[in-house]
Amino acid sequence: MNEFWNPLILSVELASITATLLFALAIPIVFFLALFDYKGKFIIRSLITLPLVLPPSVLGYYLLLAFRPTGFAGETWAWLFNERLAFSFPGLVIASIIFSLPFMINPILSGIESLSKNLKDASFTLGKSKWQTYINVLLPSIKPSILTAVILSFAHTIGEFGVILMIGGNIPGKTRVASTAIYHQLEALNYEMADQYALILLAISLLILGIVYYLQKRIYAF
Amino acid sequence: MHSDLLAVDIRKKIRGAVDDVLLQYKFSLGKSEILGVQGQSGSGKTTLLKLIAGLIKPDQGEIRFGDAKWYSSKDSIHIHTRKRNIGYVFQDIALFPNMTVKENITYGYRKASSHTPASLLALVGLERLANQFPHQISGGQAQRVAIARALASDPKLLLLDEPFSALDANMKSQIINDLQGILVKVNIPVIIVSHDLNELIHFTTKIYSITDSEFAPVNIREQAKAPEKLIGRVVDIDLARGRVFIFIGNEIVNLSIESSEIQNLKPGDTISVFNYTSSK
Repeated sequence: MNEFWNPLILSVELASITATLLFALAIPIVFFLALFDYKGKFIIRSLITLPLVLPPSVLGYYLLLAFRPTGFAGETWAWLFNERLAFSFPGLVIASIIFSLPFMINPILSGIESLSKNLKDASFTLGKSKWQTYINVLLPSIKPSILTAVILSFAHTIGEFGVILMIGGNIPGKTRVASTAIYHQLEALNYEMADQYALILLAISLLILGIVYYLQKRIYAF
Repeated sequence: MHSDLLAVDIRKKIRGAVDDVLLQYKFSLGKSEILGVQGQSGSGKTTLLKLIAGLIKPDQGEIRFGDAKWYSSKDSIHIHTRKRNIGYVFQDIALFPNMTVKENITYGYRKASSHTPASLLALVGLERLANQFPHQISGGQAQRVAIARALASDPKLLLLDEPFSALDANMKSQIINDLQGILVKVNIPVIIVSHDLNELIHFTTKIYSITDSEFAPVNIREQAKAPEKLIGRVVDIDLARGRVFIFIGNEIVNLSIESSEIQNLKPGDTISVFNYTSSK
C-alpha cells in the first residue's frame, strides 16, 4: 500500500515545495520586470517563457547536461552538499522551478500590467517607493492572478512528465512521482495500478481547476 | 500680486498619431493661485501634470518650486515624484482597490500633516464611508476620497486631472461647490486641467489653453463694457450676480448684464457682444 501512495505523496511534496519556492522567487523577479525600464527586458521575458514552448525533452536534456556530476550545477551542488544533483529529489525541485517558471511569473506580471498605471503613479505621488508601491498596492490588487499563478504552478508540477523522467530517472521512493509511476506501471503491464494513478491525477487536476475558477469568482470583488 | 512659487519652462516631444508633437509649457504660479488648463483630448493636458509631478521626464528646460529645482536639463536634475510632495487627483481617480476609504486616505498620510485622517474624511463629508471599499461607493464619493487622499500628505502643490469628467450634472455642481470650499482652505497652488472651460472658470485665477500644441494664456477680464461688435460664445451664466462669461477669441470676458436679458441666455449661445455694451 505504501508503495502505491509513495509516488502520489512525492508528487504533492514536489509540487508544494516548487510552488512555495517559485512564489518567493517570483516576487523579486516580477518587481524588476514590472517596475523598471531597461534595455534587454524582452530577453529576460523570453527566457522565462521559454519552458512553455520548449519540448520537455529539450529542456530535460539541457538540465541533465548542467546537473550531471561534471556539469556546472552538478559540480557546484556536489561541492556544497557532497551529493549528486541529477537523479535526486533536490534536482527534481530545481528542474520543476525552471519548467514551471512561466506558470508563476506570467499570470502575476499580466495582472500587474492590466492595472491602471495611475495606481502606481498615485502611490509615488503619496511619497512611496517602488518597493512599497509593489508590496502595498500592486500585489494586493491582483489577488486572483496570484492565486491562479500559485495553483497553476502546483498543478503543472504535478502533471509534468518528460523533464521529471530525464532529471529524476524514476527511482522508487526517491524520484518516482505519480506521473512517472503511471509510465512505470504501464511498462510492467500493470494496467490496474496505472489506471488508479491516472484516475487520481485526473481527479486532482480537475479539483485544482475547479478551485481556481471558484475562488477567482469569489475574490474578484473589485 | 503673487510672488511666483512654481515656475515651469519645459519642452517635451511626444509621439503623435501621425507625427511627433513638440509640447512647450511656460508659466508661473504664486501661492494659492489656481491655474486652469483647457484643451481637447490628447492636447497634452495630462502630460503637463505628469511632467510637473515628475511621472514623465521633460526633454529640456526647468521646473522650479520655491528655491528647489525639481527638474533642470542644464544641471541634470530630475527629482523623483515621491520627493516632490504633490497632491495628484488622477482622471480615472485611481483609488487603491485593496484598501478601504480610510486606508486610501491614510496611506500617504504624514504625521506632520496639518490634517488628521478624521478631519480629511470630514472635509470631504465621508465619515460614514470610512470602512467601505472603492467598489462599494459611488463615482462622486470616489472623487471626494481621491481629493482627500491627495491632501493627506499636506502637499505643496495640488494637481487635478479632469476632476469632474466622470460625474453627472448634479454630482458635478455638488463637487464643484465642495472643491471651491476645500481649495480656499488648503491655500496652496493648484492646477486643474479640463476639456471644458465652463468647469475651469468657477475656480481659477488664470486660464491657459492648449490649441494645436500651442500653450497660451486666456485672459479673463472683468468689465462692464465689452469690446465693440464682437461675436462671442456664452460659456457660463451667473444668474445670482447678473454676470455672463463669454469666450471671445482667446479671452473670457466677464460681463455684467441686465437681468431681463440674462434670462434668455444659455451656455453655448453665440451672441454679439456689441448688443450688451449698454449694460451696466
